[in-house]
Amino acid sequence: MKNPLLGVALLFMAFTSLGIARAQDNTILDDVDTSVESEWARISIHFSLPVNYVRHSPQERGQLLQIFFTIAFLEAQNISLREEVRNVPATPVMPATTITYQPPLSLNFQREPSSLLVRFDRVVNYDVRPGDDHRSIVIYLPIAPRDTKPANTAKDKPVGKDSPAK
Amino acid sequence: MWAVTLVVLVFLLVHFSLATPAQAQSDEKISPDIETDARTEKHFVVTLRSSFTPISDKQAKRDFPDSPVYLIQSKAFDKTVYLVRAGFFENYVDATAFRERALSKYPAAQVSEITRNEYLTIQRTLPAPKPGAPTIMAKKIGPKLTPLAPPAPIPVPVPSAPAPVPAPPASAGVFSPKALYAILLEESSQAAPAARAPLPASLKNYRLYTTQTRDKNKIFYQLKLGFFENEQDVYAARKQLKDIYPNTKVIHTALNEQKDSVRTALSTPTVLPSVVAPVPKVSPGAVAKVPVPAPILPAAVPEITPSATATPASSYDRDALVLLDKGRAALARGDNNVAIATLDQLLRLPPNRYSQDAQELIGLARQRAGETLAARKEYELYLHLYPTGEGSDRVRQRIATLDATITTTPSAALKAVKPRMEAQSTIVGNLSQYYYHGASKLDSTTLTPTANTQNQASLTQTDQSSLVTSLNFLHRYRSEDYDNRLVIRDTFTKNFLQGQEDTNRPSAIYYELKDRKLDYSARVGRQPGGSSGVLGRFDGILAGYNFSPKWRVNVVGGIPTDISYDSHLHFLGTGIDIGPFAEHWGGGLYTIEQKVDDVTDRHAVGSEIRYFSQVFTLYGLFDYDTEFKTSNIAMVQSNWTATSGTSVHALFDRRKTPSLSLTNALQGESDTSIKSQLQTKTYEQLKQQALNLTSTTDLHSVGISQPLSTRWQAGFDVQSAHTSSTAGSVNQPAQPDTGTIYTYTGNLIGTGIFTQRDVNVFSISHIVGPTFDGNSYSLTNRLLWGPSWSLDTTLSWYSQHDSSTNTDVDRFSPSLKPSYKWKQNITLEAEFGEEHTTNKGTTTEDTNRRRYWSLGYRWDF
Repeated sequence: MKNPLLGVALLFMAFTSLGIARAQDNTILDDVDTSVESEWARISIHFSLPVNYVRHSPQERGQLLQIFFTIAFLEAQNISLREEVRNVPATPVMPATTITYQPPLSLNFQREPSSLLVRFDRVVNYDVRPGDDHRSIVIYLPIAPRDTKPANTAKDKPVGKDSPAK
Repeated sequence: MWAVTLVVLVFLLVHFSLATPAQAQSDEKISPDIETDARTEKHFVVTLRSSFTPISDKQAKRDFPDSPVYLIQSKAFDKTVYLVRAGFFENYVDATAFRERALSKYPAAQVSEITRNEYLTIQRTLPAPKPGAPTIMAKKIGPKLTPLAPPAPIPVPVPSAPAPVPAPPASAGVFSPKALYAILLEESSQAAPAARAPLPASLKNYRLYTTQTRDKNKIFYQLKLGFFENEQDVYAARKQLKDIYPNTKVIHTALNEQKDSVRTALSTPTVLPSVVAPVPKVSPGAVAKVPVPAPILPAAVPEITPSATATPASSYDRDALVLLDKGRAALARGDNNVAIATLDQLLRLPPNRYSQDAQELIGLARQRAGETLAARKEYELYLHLYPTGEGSDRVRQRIATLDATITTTPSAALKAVKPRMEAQSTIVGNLSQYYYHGASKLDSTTLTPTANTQNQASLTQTDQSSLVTSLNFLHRYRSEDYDNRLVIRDTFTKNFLQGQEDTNRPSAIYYELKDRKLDYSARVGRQPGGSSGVLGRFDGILAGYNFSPKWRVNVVGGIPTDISYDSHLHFLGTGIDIGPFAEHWGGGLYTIEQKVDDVTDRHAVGSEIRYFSQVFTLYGLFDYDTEFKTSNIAMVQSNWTATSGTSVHALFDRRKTPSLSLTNALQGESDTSIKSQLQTKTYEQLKQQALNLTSTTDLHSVGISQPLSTRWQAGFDVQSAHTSSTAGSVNQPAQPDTGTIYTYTGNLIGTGIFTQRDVNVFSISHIVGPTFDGNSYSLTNRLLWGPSWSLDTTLSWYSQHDSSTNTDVDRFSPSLKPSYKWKQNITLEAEFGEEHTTNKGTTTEDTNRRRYWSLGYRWDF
């Protein structure tokens, strides 16, 4: 086994498979994909069911982002009231990101839509759009220029302090 | 389940044996750099706003009247991005300083480095940032003319031996609302006049361009030189040109003509290097200086004699045109390699009027030469540089054709062009363990109004004591041809209370394989449903094959996992996915049959329809059961986002609850085997019983969200819900109709209100039912504190009065959830909360107080 994490996963499966129960509650989050183009990074949050994007806040920039959406496909008795967490590791062009599905406070979906709480490890700009498969919500992150500072001016001013929120 | 696990493990071992060292690394692949501009200098701007929905730059222009502000489109992930930018800055520090000033109004402002192509394009087209045209009247010339659309660019005479002379960008920085004078050099009703001769060096910063006008049914073509800021300059220029153009007139132009002239400009005038004046650069705070217009002089048109001399002009445009013609000719005769070399030579010139055509043609030349992937790269570069317009549509079409070629006939040449992608192995996920504890106390008071006495009883119990361990594991292995995933999501609950069993809920254990080359995919194992007619999680296989770029066939088969009957269920289905068509539309059709103990449980046909654009999305689903001969699901949901940020969402949903199937007949039955039920009832009787126990739910909602400022956003939603009655069965009582319940919800979302990094949601709802009404109030604050701490605080209060039973319900629920991030990938979390519920009727009052807490960690890997 070349990777200890895989070993952990298999051990976990072997240990827990002794008492497998049928899964009665729907999990909402499926995979989270990332991809990068020359100027933008994209985080695609896939859901198990069709979702309808409702709103998000803050609109353009922040470290905490809350995205509200509705799920039409769920029967209330099957909804999961557990938080679900997916994480995106940091890369040179993408912040480490934790995506937490926040279940409604109760089973009354009408007045309490579901939401995702997205936490970046630094303040970032973003744009949030529904995915074109209607089973995902996409966060676009513009990539700030990396090696754009002329060598003779790089030390002139601190540029890391880029957040009004800090 | 063991079989599925075994299959997954086998797949796992196979693909791990193929993998390169499985160390976690970035899952991302930065696209090959497609910039072609030779960057000898950098250009910076501040991107004030960016959005995947159309936005306006008007406000930004008002906010920064002294800086060039422009709106530009770009492409990312095949989607149009709208960017409002302010420029231009020669270095990063200046741009950062400007950004600091802009942040108060544009919190998402960021410094961007732009391509030389963007810089030159904007410089050519952008008016100087000091609005307010001089109060002078246009000088009329000839008959009253109606402007037409700018004509197509006119080829300039090609010199016999063009000598490339480094010329600055034509007229960079000279255009402004104040530069409204031009010289009408020639006019003709036959054809667009060509430049008779190169311009004098002193006029090198002015633009030679053509226009068209229509008078009644006649079209006039003009050759003009512009744009001058004052009469002194324009008349001086006119005097210089009198030998070449004897019948010139000074005219006054509109701003639009400046912009249109970019498209119709003729070659850059000849300028000897020794006399080239430096091109004015625009930098923040030092925008090109525009002299105040001189007082208007009386129009005096001197006599002009015909030109006697003519020297061949030389410029990048001319060189480019020569190369373009050569490349075209080579392409026409099938000499693709010569065409590629020639066009490549053209594209190595600084951006010019023929760069766009050349970029498309080199793609075509490579395509014809069999260099399919290289051709695609050229086309992608074209779309990157010229994302809109007729040419871009054509190029997208070519890419679509190419994709089909790549899918069906990969050639040897294709392999030679692109190096094979290095295989990447990524493991990502998290493992968490939380201990949950809950204890409740119920105080029940019986009110006896006649005796005015109370009987009180209390019950206290620990209702939860469990350790929940969750694993979310994704291993992705990607190579040139394959994309493999192994997904494991499992939750194991260890219960410490007597009488409560330990449970293990694997929500996903699947292996997925995508073959990029042959364009098929398969997912095997426990997986979520929700598509192809599968309504819930299942153990099985979902596979699909794209037999053409827009058509995909799917098959699905397996066993539903969310059913707990003593019956054996399995299903088999097939369907097709279509699209995108007409750019925005897509959809699919499916049919599925689910068997329970060898009789039909559900047999459905259905369709999905999808519409997706930058501002509007729509998703519709219709599922019809042919066995029950009634619709199971009819749903449409949509979202519309306006340029102002206003967002509207709507949902229409009508469905059977539970989802229609024969096993619905088992509700309330102690014998949950269809096989044994069929021993006492007929299949038709069971079907009728299923229908009798199935209700119809209607859920409609519409809502609007509106940003109020950079910190505040308001939303309002209206929803209605209705569930029909059921007839019931011998063992399952009938359910009454719920009536329609309306909910009106107002939301106010604020960011940075209590602390600098927080999100606050205030929500008020009013609920109106047939016999009750209620109000709900909630406040949620989520904040980050320092580099490691975060805190979620929730206050929720719900009150309801039921007039039919004369009871009141009040529920107050505060909770606190701190978390601490330790060593980058370990998060320690806790939660403390209470739910205090009072049920007050005419004779009893129950108070239930539940306190709960949890403590645990999550390890992200």
